[in-house]
Parts: sequence; C-alpha cells; structure tokens
Amino acid sequence: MSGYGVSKIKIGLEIHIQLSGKKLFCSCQTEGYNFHEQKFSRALHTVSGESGHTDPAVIYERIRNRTFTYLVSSNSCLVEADEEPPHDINVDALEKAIAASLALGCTVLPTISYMRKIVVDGSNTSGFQRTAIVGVNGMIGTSKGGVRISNVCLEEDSCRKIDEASGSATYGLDRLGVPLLEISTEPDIVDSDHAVEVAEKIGGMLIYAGWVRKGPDSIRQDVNFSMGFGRVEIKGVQKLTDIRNAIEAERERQEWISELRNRIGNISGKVIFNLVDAEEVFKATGSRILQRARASGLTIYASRARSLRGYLKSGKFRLGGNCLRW
Amino acid sequence: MHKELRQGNRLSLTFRGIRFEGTVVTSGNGLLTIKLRNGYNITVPVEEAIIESVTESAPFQQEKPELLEIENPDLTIIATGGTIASRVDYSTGAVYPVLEPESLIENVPELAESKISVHAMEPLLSENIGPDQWMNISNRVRMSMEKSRGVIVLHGTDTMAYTASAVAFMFEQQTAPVVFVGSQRSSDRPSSDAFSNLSASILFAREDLGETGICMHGGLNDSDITLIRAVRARKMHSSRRDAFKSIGEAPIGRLADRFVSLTGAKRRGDKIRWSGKMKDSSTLVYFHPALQGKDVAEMGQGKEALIIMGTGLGHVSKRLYGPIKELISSGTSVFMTTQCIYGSVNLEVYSTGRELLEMGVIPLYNMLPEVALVKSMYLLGNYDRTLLNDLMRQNLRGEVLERELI
Repeated sequence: MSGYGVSKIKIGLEIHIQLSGKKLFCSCQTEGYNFHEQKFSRALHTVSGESGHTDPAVIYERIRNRTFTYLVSSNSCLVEADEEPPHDINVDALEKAIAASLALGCTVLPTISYMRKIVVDGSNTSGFQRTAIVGVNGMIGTSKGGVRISNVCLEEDSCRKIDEASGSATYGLDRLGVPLLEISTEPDIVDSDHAVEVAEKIGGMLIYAGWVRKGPDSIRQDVNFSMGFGRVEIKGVQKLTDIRNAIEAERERQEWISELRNRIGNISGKVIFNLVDAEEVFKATGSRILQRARASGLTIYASRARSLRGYLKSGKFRLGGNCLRW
Repeated sequence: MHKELRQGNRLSLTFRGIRFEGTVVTSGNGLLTIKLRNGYNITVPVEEAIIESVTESAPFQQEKPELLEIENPDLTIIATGGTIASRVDYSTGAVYPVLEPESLIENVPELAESKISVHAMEPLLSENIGPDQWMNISNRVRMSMEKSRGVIVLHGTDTMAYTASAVAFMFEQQTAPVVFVGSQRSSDRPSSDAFSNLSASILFAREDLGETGICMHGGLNDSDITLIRAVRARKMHSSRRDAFKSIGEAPIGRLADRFVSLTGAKRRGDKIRWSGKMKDSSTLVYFHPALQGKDVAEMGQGKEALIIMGTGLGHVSKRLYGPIKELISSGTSVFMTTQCIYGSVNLEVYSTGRELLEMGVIPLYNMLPEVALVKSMYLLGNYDRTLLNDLMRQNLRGEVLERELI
C-alpha cells in the first residue's frame, strides 16, 4: 500500500541523533568548545578490513593520495587525535541507547561488540568508525501503519569537514567521537509525508527526553528511496522539510529516467556508445568541470550519442548529468 | 555442535525469536560473535542461540608472511615483530605480531624503489626481547651490514631503546646505518604510523651515517620524522606517535616534508668492528622514599653491576648506605644515574653525594639509566671485568653528553 498508488515505492530512514554529555570513548564534552591554534596533518593508508577484503572506497582514496589536516578543539584529547587507545565506553550514552531501543520496541542484545567500519576520507583520524548494534527488531506505530525498526546502533560521530582542496582536506576534531545513535527503519514508509512523520516521531522522542546535543546538525537523516530501479541513498538531510523535498525530487528524477528508458527502448536500433580518447580536443577547453577533471589526472573520452537528441538536457530530462554521475 | 564453530563459518541462528545470518568472528567463553551481512557484529550467549545451519567457508583471509630475502640487496630489513609488524586479531581484539610485506609494500613506495631484502626473525612483542635476543639481532645486523648499504630493524617500541643501545655498543665501528623503526599504531589501521616511519627509515638508511638510531615521529604530523641516536633515545609516552625523545641533544636526523637532514652524526666507517657478547649480570634499581635496604641487597646480590636511578643529582636515603657498602665490598660495581632522566648526576654538591662517592659509588654523568644497564652488560661481555668501572665513565658511542645546550 503506497501513498503514490505505485506499489514499488519503498522508503527507509536512517536517523542519526547526537547525544549530549560526554563523548563515546573519552571524557571530552560534546557541547561548548572553541578551536585552538594547534593542528596536525596525517595521511591514511590502504588496509584490509575485518573480513580481510579491501573496500573499493579505500582503493579510491589511495588513488587520491590526500593529506588531512586536523584542527584541535578544546573538546578533544589524545583519543580524538588517534594518539591514545579509546577509553571505556561512556556508560551514560550506552544507557540512553538501551532506553531508546526499548522505547522503539527493540530487543536489546545482551552483549554489544564494537566493530571498525573503515572510513578513509579523513573524517576519522583513526581511519575507521567504531560502531555497534544495541537493539534490533523494533516497531513503531504511525498513522499509516507500523514501521519496523531494523537496528539501533551506538557509534562515534565523525569529524566536521571545514575545508577541502585538491589533494587535501581540513577537519575539526570537535565533532569526532560524539555519541551518535543510528536508528534504521525497514523500507516500510509509503510516501514523503509518512517519512516526515516517522522522523519526527523518533527524533521528537529523544529531544523531549532532553538527551539530544544542542546544535544545528545534531539530527541528520539518510533517506533510502527505491521505486524499482535500485536503491538510492540521500545522505545527511538535516531538516524535516528537506526529507519531503528530497524524496519528491528523487521520485521525479526516477520517474523521468523511467520514462526516458521506455522512449530510448523504442528507438530503432541500439544506442551504442563508442568511446574514444578525446584529450586532444579538450586540451584548451573552457569548461571548468573538464579542466578540473584533467587536472586530477582523469582522461576525457567522447562518443557520439546517436538518436539521443533532446534527452541529454531538455525540459525535465537531465540524462547528461546523470551519465556524468555514473 | 557449538564447539565446532570456527572463525569464518557461515551460519544462521535464532536468538530470542530473531533470526540472524552472518559469519563467525569468534566463539568462546560462552559467547558467539558473528558479523552480519551489513558489516555489524552481534554477540549472543551460545546457550540462548538456536543455531540452524552452519556452512564451511574459507576462514578470514590471513596473508602469509612471504620472505623476500634477495641476493646483493641495497638495504636489508630485519623484522623482529612489534606493532609495526602486527595486526589486530578480530577474533580476540588483541594485536599480534606478523609480517605482511604485501601491505607494507603497497603503502611504502620506497620499498619497491630499492633492492631490499627482508629477513623475518621469530616475531616477538618487545617486552619479550632481552639480552639473548639482543645478541641474535645484533649478529643478524652484522651479517646484513656485510652485504648491504643500510640495515633497518623493525622492532616493538616498548624496549626498542634497549635493543638499539645494545646494537650501538656492539658496533665499535659500522659501515652502514642501523635504523630501528617501529610504530605506535598497528599497521592494520589506515592511520598507522608504520608506513611513514618505515618510509623515512629507508631514506635514513641510504645516508652516509655510521651510527645506530631510532626512527619515529618527531611530532604529530605524518611528515615529521626524526632519527634519534640509540644511546640518547627514550620512550617518553605510552601511546603518542612522537613517544621517542632525544634526551638532552637534538635528533641526529630529521625528515621534514621529504627532505633529510643530518646533524652531528658519525659517518660510515671503512670496516666493521663488532663484538657481539652480552653478559646478563647487571640490574637497575629505582630509588623511592619507601625503598628498603634489604630490597636493594636482594636485587644486587650476585650481580656484577648495579645501576641506581637516584633522585635529583644522584641521591638515595641513608637507609641504603649499609647494603650499598656491602655490595661494593663483595665485588659489585654500583653506578649512579638520575631518575629525572634529563640532566646529569653530580655527587659533589650535597653531603649525601659525597658520602656515596666515598663508599665507591660511581657517577655516570648524564647517561640514561637504561643505557647504563645495557652498556654494563656489553662491557662485562666483551672486556675484562677490571676495566668496567673505568669504561662505564668513558663516552663510547655518544651516550654521555659533554655539553648540554640551553
């Protein structure tokens, strides 16, 4: 049953909520801080994760070979600088995670085990995020039926990105290690209004409990959207109204892609891309996108897009931009 | 059935009515940890888990140490274990020593640029390395030095300064640099300092340098690596990357933004002069206000050398005078260093110092206490016993600073 009358639409939310008080693995405060003049710089390296496999994102970052600079804040210590092993877990944050799990109808696991999620974009000084499942298999009631809660996790938040340039990025240590509740729903949400209702219900519960860190980005949502063409994750949506806008925009995008697919399917003959090296042609290009791509070492290829006149960029169709992203 | 669960087994189980599928990470102490498909780990009591199906699958990939010993190398790397050659065992959470040249080579381009031979010794955490291993390592260093232009020793950081000092003393003259290198974060972490330290050690090992040094971070930046004279190096922090400090003098080498500079380091010698024995007949005592005379007597009994870490300029309580006199009269040499670590002892200033001098206690200037311990073992192993007291006060490898700068 869907609010759009299209049976294939599935929406799931991942709601990230920062907890106030102390950080997850040290005694630094989550609120009230300023930046010091001190900073340090690091590189991150390719390592295989817990399963012995190397993640494609890790390989991508190695190719980028970036240097990361970290600004030291008054609410950071050797743990955030990756100069000391983590301290014992913040029991207060753990209790809140357990309470939130119970309130969401979850089964709380009798033991929680932290794992390392390898993250090498520099947003964690260690190169991984510590995360653990606290509760599973919950359910909340909504005006449009029950929405299942898959997991409640308690993890450490990443660094705040302050600046980015080619070959480097600057992060602040203020946000690193803030206890973050990650509450994931199953794709039981039927439309954008429903998504807003679910986010409001879950976020509101913790806000009213007085447990949420004060700050404009203390609640961030990831929206998982699918209408039969694969799952798209829209990350870091902060405002409730943005959840609605993001879902509507993604639905429209997928609708016209679907329409385009049907139209292209009707073109006689196949659409074949014969990509050829076009470096010479674009040597003196005025396009900033192409200039940047060439500067970062990428090669430009071109192909005749036979029979696609009007589809790459015309009215609601934006196939060109989508090709670029893929 | 539970006992048969092995790391890497795929299984499905039901816990309190909830079904989970995943791969066994660890099973023991009544708990079962599995990695779910989404990457998260869950841990449940084995008794409460209804295990439905188990399928064998390849265990977690564990790279096998591949020895890369080659003929006529430019540089030789001797791996003794330690954090730099360790990775976390995800089934126990503990870090264990292993050499993984593949992962190191991938992240240290300098390894591929030089002809480097890797010799793996039995991997040990450095707390398990003592005088016997110092002799083995030093002997291996000597053999490598005969064949290559630089020797790098991968070593745990906890006792690295002891081993490096032992090797420094055993080489009266060396034809190549000996660079000890370690890391404070294990190399299974993307943020490990193993890669930048190892990369720098290769650059130092190519220099015109006839000394033994320790190569680690000079600060929190990955681009700032120092080479510290082994006999002036001390681990001064339990976890920071820049744990090693050069005590009382500037580091002899520095790598800043890929540029190597050397200061006051000895050049390569034209031939190797090496004596590789160690006599384990010395000990080290840390004086504290509650230390009892009988404890000192027990520790010093039967030893040929007793190094005291005294307070300030080199003092101990009058309570210890008796036992110290007895040790000296029974043939033990008693040496004084300072527990302040920075600065020199001076037994001429206070009455306590003068009394200790009269008893025959020998002050060791600003020699680091641990270096004095290692030096005494080296001297006892290779020189006549009667030369010990005199040679301990001579500056053999830069262990005594004649000037301490402001």
